[in-house]
Amino acid sequence: MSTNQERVKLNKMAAAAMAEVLDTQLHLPGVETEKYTTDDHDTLCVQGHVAMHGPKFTGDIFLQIPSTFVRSVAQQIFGFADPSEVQENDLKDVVGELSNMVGGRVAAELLAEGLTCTLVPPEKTIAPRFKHVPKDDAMDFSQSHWLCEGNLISLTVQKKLISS
Amino acid sequence: MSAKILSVDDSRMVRSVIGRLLKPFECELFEAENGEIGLGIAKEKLPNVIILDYNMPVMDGVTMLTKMREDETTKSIPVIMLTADANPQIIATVARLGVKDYITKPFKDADLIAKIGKIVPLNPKPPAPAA
Repeated sequence: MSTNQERVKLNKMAAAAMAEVLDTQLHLPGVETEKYTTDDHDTLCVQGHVAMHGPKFTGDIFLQIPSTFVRSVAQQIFGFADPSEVQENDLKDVVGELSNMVGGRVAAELLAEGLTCTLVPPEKTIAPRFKHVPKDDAMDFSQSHWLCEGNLISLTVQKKLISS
Repeated sequence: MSAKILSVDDSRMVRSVIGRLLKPFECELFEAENGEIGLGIAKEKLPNVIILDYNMPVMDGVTMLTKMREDETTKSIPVIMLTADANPQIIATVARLGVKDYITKPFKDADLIAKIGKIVPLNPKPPAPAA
């Protein structure tokens, strides 16, 4: 059974990872927000999923960023003159790598608690935003939403200890 | 003589960020999206330093590093690992293969430049002549 203490710890890890990735990679401030409504479900997002596999646990990172925002970020990173030059693969590349970095940061925090893991290369999709739900009670689950330049970014981190 | 730097990462975003960071300096930047392509460029161009990801399709960073160390022409090229994976086993493996430094993603721009600068001098480009 997942404990509240474990969930709080995972929330802190996810928040630290998200803030650091936004700051160091996009040079943009991100603020955690509660302003998530069902209207946000319709937003087309680029999603990155990174799985974590370790001897004592398995876990996942899901990052969802509105595609219009990713397009603007990708335009700057790749130096395109116009947003229309950004291709679908560019959108997926950016969110895949950001997910990978969030995963790396969370994995480093888990390592400090004695939980080692390897990261699986990110899976990337473009689809309307959806709300992840924990698969079962034994799963530590953290879901947070972030405002970055007015865009709502969703981050889900989940982990489950492997019973010996 | 300008530095020759090879960036090997499957993410175009990371390669672009590195390119932007190195733009103010006199250096020649080569890019590869996996270890296999990176190994070919390393043999041909003999860069002064390689910035190498771990987790890549086709050929990962450890395999590329292992093959480089087995080859007389590339065995002493300094390598900086730049990866999201901080797994102790991977760190131990690449340490045995003689990597110069290990940076975990997300990384700070200044940290990466400082670590490259420790291996190869990064001289600022002279200002462009007035038109």
